[in-house]
Amino acid sequence: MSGKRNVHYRKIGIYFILFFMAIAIVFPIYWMLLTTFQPTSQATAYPPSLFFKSFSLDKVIEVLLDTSVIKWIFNSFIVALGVVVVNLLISVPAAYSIARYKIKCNTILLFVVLVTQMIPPAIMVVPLFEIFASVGLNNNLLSLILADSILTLPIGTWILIGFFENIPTEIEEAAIMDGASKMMLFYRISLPLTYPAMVTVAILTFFDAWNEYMYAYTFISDQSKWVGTVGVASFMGQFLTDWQAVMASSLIFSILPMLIYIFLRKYIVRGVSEGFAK
Amino acid sequence: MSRSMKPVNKTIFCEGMTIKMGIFNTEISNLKEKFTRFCRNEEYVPYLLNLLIVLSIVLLFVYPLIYGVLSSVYSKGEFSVANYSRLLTDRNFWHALWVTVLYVFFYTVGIMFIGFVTALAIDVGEERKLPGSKILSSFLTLPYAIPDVVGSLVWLWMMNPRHGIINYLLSFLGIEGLKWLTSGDLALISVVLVGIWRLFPMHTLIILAAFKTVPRSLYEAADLDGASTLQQFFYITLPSIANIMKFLVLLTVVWSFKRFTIIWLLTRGGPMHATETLAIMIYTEAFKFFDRGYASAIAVSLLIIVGAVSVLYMKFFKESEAEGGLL
Repeated sequence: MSGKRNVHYRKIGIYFILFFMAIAIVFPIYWMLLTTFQPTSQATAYPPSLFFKSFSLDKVIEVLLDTSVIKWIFNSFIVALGVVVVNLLISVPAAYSIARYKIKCNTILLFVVLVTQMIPPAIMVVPLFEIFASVGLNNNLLSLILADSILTLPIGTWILIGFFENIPTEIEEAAIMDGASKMMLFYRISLPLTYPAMVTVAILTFFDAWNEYMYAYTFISDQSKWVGTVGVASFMGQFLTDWQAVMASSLIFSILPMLIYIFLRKYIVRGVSEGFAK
Repeated sequence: MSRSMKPVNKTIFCEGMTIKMGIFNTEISNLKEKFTRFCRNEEYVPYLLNLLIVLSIVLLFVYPLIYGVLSSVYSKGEFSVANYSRLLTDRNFWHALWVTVLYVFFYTVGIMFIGFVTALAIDVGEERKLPGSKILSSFLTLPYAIPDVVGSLVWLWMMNPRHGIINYLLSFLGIEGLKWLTSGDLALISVVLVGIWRLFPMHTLIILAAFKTVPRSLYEAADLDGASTLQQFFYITLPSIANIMKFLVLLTVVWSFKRFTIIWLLTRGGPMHATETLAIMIYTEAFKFFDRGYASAIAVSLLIIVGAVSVLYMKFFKESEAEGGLL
C-alpha cells in the first residue's frame, strides 16, 4: 500500500522536474516569438500578456527591409561554411593518422590538440587581433574563418578519431593484400566510411562558428562585413532599445540553426554522446 | 660496396681525415637508407596527414600564444616586468580573480546539479515509459541551437527591471522591482543562471549517455536480491558513472573559464566590476583602455590558472585512458 503511494509520488516528482525543465528551456524562446509577432503596442506593453492576442508581421518586415540583417546573416553563413570546410580538411587526415598510427609524434599531437581546446579565446584575442592586423587580414571574413577553425578543431578531431578507431582493421588488411598504398587506404577505404561522422562534425562546427561573437566583434569593424552575432547585438542601444526589433532580428538569426537542429538532431546527440563514450 | 671503397682511396692522403670522412659517409649512407625505407614503406604517410593540423596549430595557436607572452614583457622594444608589478597591486585584478573563482564554482555546481537531475528524470521516465517524457526530453537540446548572443538578448529583455516578464510574474508573489543585472548582489547570479540555461542540456545528454552504459544485468541481479530503487541508485548507478562525472566536472571547470559572450552582453562586467571575470577584464583592458601589454599580462595569469586545472584534467584523462576509456 505505502509502496504504491510512493511510486505515485515519484511519478509526480519526475513529471514535475521534466515539466519545469521544459518550461525553463522553452519559455525564453516562446517569449522571443511572442514579442516578435505581436503589434508593437502590445509586444512592449506593461503589464505584458502571456499569450498571443493578435498576430503581426510588421516588425519582422521592418527589420528585414530597413536593416542589414540579411547581409549579416549571409556573412555568418560564409564564415560558418568556410570554417566547416577548413576544419574538415584539417581534422579528417589528422584524426585518421592519430587513430591508425600509434607513433610518438601522434601522441604528442593529440595532447596538443586537447590543450588548444582548454585555452580561453580571451587569451588569444589580443595577439590574434594584432597578428591579423599586421598581415592585413583585419576587416576580412577570412580572419574569422581562420580563428574559428582553431576553436572548433579539437572537437572535430576528437569525434573523428573515435570513428576511425571503430573501423575494423580487417577492411584495410584486405586492401593491403590487393596492393593498396597507405595513402589509398586512407583515401579510398577509410574516408568513405566516415561520411556520417563528418556530417556530425560539420553540424557541430557550423553551430560553433554561427555562435562565435568575441572574435567577430573584435576583428571586423566595417558594418557591411559584420556577421549575424555582431549585427544582432548592435540592435541593443546604449540608452533606448527597441526590444521588439532586438527580438525580431534575434529570431531571424536563429532560424537556420533551429532548422538544422530540428532536422538533424540525431547527429548532434550522437556526436555529443559518442565524443564522450570514447 | 662502392660506398666502403671511397674512404679507402683517400687514406693515401691523410689518415686522420679519412677516418672522419668514413664516419661521415656511413652516417650519410645510414640516413639515405633510412630515407629510402621511409619512402618505400610509406612511413611518411602519418606525417603527411598531420601536415595541415601541425601547420595551423603552429601558426594560429602557438605563435599567437608566444606573441601574447612576449607582448606582456616587452614594451617599446624593451624588456620590462612593469605590467606584472602593476598586476600584483591592482585591486581590480584580484577582484576579477575572485569573481572568476565564484563564477566557475557556481556555474560548475549549478550546471552539474541541474544536468544530473534532468538526466535522472528523463532516464527514469523513459525506463518506466511515462507518457510524454520522450517529447519533453527531445526539447532538451534546444538551447544548443540558440546562439549565445540571442540567448543573452532574450534574457536581457526578460530580466528588464521595468518591462521584463520575470519581474512582472514575480510581482504576483509580492516580489517587486528586482534589478537582475544592475545590482551588485544579483548580477553575478543572473549571469551564471543564463550561462547554465544555455549549456546544461549538453550535460544532461552526457550524463544520460553515462546512465545508459551501466549494464542492465546489474540491476536485474539487485532486483532479485530485493534491493530498493534508492539502494540500486547509490550502490550501482553512482559508482558506475563516478569516473565520467569526475571527468565532466573537470571539463566544466576548464570550459567555464572560456565563457565570455553572455557576461559581456548582459553586463559588460558591471555593475562596478561585480561580474568582471578575468576574460572580461582582458577584453576591457585591451579594447576599451587600449592597454594591450597589460591585457596580455592578465591573459598570461589566466593561462597559468587554466594550465594548472588542465594538468589535473590531463592526469585524470591519462589514468582513465590506461584503464580503458571512460565509459
